[in-house]
Order: sequence, then C-alpha cells, then structure tokens
Amino acid sequence: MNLLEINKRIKQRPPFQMIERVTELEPNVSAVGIKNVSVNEPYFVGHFPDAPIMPGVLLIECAAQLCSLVIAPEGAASDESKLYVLLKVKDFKFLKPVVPGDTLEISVSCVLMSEAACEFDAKICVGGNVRAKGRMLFTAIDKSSVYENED
Amino acid sequence: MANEEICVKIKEMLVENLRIPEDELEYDSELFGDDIGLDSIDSIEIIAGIDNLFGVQMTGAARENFQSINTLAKFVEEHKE
Repeated sequence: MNLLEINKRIKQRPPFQMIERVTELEPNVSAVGIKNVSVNEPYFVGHFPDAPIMPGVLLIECAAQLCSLVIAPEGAASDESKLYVLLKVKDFKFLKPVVPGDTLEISVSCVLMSEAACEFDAKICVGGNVRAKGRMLFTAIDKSSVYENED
Repeated sequence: MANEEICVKIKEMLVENLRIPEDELEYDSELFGDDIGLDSIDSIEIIAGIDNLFGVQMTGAARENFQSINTLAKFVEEHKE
C-alpha cells in the first residue's frame, strides 16, 4: 500500500502522518508499515536542539496509525459518524533512541477484537533491532460526543 | 454465589488485563468503588474481555452488573448461549 492508498484510509496528514508505506496487511489481524525519519521533521527543532531524538509519544502514534489501517474498513470503521480513538497504552518500552536517518519498520498484530474494543501488540524496529514495543487499546466513539461538552 | 468456573476466568482476565493484584481481588470486591477503584476505560476492557472469553455482549448492560466478579459472572451465566 503506497502513500496515496494510505491517504484514502487515514485522515492524518503531514506533519502528523506517521505511516508512509504498508508492506504487509491482513485486515483485522496484522500489518507492517514503514516510516522514514528525516532531520527535517518539525519536532526535531525542539526535541532536542543539540541532539535530535524522535519523541516516544510519536513512536506510539506511528503504531496507532498503522493499527487504524488494520481495523477493517467495514463495520464501525466505515461509519462516518464514528471515530477510532486510542484508549490505553500498556507497557510501552523505548529501548533505544530513534534519530534522523532511521527507517522505522512498524509491526502491529491484533490480540483482541470485540465490538467494545480492540487491542494490538506493537513493535518498532530499525534495521531489525527493536527500538520500542508495547500494547494499545482502541475503541470506536461517536464523533459528535467529542465536542458535546464544549460551549 | 455465581458459577465458580466463570468467576475464576473473569478474575484471571481482570488480573491480567487490568493489572489488579490477585490477592486484593475477591469475588465480592467492589470493582468501581473504594475496593478496587476501576474507571470507565477499565469498564470497556471488561466488556471486551467478557465478549472475548464467553461471547457475551455487555455493551449497554446496567451498571449494577459491573459491581463485582460475582455480578459479572451472574450476567454471563444468564446470557451465555
């Protein structure tokens, strides 16, 4: 799946698009995706000026965006009134920093799929070595509920 | 007292998924009250876990069914096919 095909399925866009290519995809089961980390990424300006390191929360976002591609487009994911949101991040470990020039190989696999929630195992590698891993829980919510308490 | 086998499975799921210390969790412990202190995110995990274990849907079930392992097990027993 190339960038144009990815754009049809996810709504995130630069500078918040964290999956650039999908090399393996089995709907509702697993996927492998790629992101190239460039020194031009805007967050490197401040994180950190003298030692650019990709923030851990953005590594989680990479895995979360790939998970959203695994969740099959039928059912709740095809319903325009619904939005899949990250509910819980479990046991994420950041084993070694990700720096400009790294190519991230992101693998996610579904460990629980139910009407109420789905849970994924995630692993992020560079050159075959694990840089981060953990688990994430998602659920579908009504888009309208996100802003219902706003004035 | 609810079905022992169902209680055991629900307790295992709560200990593993929600990281509740096993020795603090009795079948009649108040899950969302002072005893264990679970929150709304945990309730979604419980619903997903029950669906996964028993194929029983708890979405929209009344709050009292989530009081304890005993009440969850009773709901499962009543709705299991």
